[in-house]
Amino acid sequence: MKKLILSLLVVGSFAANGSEAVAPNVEWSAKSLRQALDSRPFGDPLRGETLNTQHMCASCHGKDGIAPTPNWPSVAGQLESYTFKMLLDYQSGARAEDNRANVMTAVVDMLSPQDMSDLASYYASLEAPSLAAGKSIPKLVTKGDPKRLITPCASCHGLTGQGGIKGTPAIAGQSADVLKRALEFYQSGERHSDLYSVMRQAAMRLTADEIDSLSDYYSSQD
Amino acid sequence: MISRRDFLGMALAAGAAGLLPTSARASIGKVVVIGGGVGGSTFAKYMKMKAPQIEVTIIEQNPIYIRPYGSSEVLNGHIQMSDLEVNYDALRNKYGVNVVVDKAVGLDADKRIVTTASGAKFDYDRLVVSPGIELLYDRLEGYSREVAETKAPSGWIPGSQTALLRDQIKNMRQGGTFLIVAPPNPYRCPPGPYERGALVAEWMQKYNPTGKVIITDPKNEFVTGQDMRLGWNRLYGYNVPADMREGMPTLREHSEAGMIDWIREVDGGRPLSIDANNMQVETDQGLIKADVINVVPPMRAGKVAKAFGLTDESGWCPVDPYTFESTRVSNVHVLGDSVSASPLPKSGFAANNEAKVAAYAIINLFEGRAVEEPSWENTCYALAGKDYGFMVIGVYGMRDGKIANLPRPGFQSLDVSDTKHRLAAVYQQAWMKSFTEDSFL
Amino acid sequence: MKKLIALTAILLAAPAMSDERAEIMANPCAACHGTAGNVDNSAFMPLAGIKAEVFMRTMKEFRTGERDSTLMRALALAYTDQELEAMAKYFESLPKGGEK
Repeated sequence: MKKLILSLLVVGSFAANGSEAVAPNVEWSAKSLRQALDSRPFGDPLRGETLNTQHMCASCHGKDGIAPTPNWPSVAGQLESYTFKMLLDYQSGARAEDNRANVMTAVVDMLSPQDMSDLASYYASLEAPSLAAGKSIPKLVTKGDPKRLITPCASCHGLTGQGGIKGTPAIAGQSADVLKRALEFYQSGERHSDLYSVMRQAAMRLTADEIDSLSDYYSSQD
Repeated sequence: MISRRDFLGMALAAGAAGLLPTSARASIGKVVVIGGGVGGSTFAKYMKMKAPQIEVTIIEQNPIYIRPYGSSEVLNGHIQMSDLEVNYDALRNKYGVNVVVDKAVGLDADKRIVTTASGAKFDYDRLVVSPGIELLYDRLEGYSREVAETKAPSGWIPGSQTALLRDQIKNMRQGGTFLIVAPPNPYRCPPGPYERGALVAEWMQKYNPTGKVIITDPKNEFVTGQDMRLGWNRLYGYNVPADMREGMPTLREHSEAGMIDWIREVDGGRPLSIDANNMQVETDQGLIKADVINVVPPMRAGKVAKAFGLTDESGWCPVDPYTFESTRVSNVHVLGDSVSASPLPKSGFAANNEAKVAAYAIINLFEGRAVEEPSWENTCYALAGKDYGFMVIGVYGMRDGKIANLPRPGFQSLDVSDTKHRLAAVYQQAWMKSFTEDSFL
Repeated sequence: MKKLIALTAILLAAPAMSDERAEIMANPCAACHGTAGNVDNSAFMPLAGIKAEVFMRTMKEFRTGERDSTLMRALALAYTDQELEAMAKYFESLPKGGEK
């Protein structure tokens, strides 16, 4: 299988008995990421639909990309390039922040770049979930906090979490748990495959309450 | 639905405990647990969670628990011996269980007192005995504990024998033979010996490709047999015997002998004697020479069960399925591998589940209430390879006063996708972690 | 005998499943899904606080195979709707632990 350009080696076995996998601490660069995305094969969404069932992705992420239970992220309507990057991150171990990530690594290990692109393409074709309407908007979303160098979430993820700006993912309509988990892992640095550490920077100085309120805002919950 | 027996049990308990109104949740009841393995620890934890006012003491002879489930993964270097260790800190500090490192040596069932090796005495209202297994090394001619600890390890109770076996496998000469002598029924962890053979075969494919794994067996089948043989067929060049192919998906035909060989009883696999000096095992079909010999001998209930009069002629402990109270000694309950509670298997999962049933039952008995109808599962993941898993699934309930395997619509689980096997292997790892947490932490 | 008949009559009229029985039936789940439905950093999902309606829908989807699984289908097949409803109610009642 052709491994895409990523200047790292996957070291060590994935998690056994709860110990964290040894994720190589190598960062994407703008160049390496661009190369990876440029060499992505053209995705076939119909084939992706079959793979979604065949590889049991649907079991956690839903037949139509909406996660059946709040523990797992939805993937419907996600940016094609972002999904592809996520799968690459799992495959290489660049994302290995916890045992859930390691489940992904085990399954993605069986996928070729074509498979991954087909899946990404299928998910992108699905209707994205949206955040529940009528919620008051936390200040961090629209204004960020210049004192803490936190950019407004909306400037990349959008006011309604639709993403797509500068290649950032859609986050709307995920469960609050999933969003909270992401922010917490970025904050601790255990999740570290974000280009230029943008999310790690954004999350670094958030309080626990702010993480809750941001997660609630962008989630599918009222 | 409570049976007439439950009602009588309740009346007895009410009589024994004094008629207590259920509203008076007084601090009644002292429970002593012998054995800090899966059964004993799960029992203590769940007892304290449900009824913290009940005093619970575990008497365990080892300061640290070494888990047997997943211990075969030491043999292929997937984990270290230290990864098998579980301590009692949570039981002590989080749940308030008094964990005493000592050995229970005497029982006065009338006065309800347990005596330990250090001379301490523990009185109880209810005693729970969960001592695991005793390996009957001497039942196999030429085998003994001494041989097991030095030359032909068993490791079926994990510890130094497991480490010895790991080293022997690692140092085996190229082209050497690893021989597993499988046990007769009943024994702890039904798929265990075969999973062990598979994991070592997988390791040897990489590190000793001209070597061989042989399992010689006094039996003709084992739990997960079809799944395991299918895995062997796909991964280790094993040919499924012609008379065992029915109901199996398309099998690969291997023209050469594979990495793993299983000699059933019908083919002369029954072991007769172990000769560790000459590194050979005599079986019905002849002599098998090997470089590493792993013997799983016949076994029975843990020693203290017999010493306390809890076993019957079979060597295992008969119990009341509603409460796991011994049918031989009153106010003493038995859990886990030691128990005769067929069809519940001798697995860690079953021990954990039985412990929960017993804890709830004893709380009800203490409070003069009827015991609830119990329910059990046994859902274990097993491996034929690091990335190839499958499972044992059993759901049990009471039917006509007996524990029964609940019938359910059948479903095909044998011929599943690679992804499912891969996921099952991931879940097997996840389950060992969550299971350990549920039992001890 | 009369007492037994009377007792049986009372029991047959009684609600089919007590909370405790629901809990006893749910206890085996903890081996994967965590004590009191809380498991963290796991391939398995926590069940504490799960909406009863979500639990039921999920178990039914496992049962038919609409939602694929390794062993959940076998378990979903083993329990009746009534039993699952009781377990659903139990899991919904459990407090969510602090988890990542």
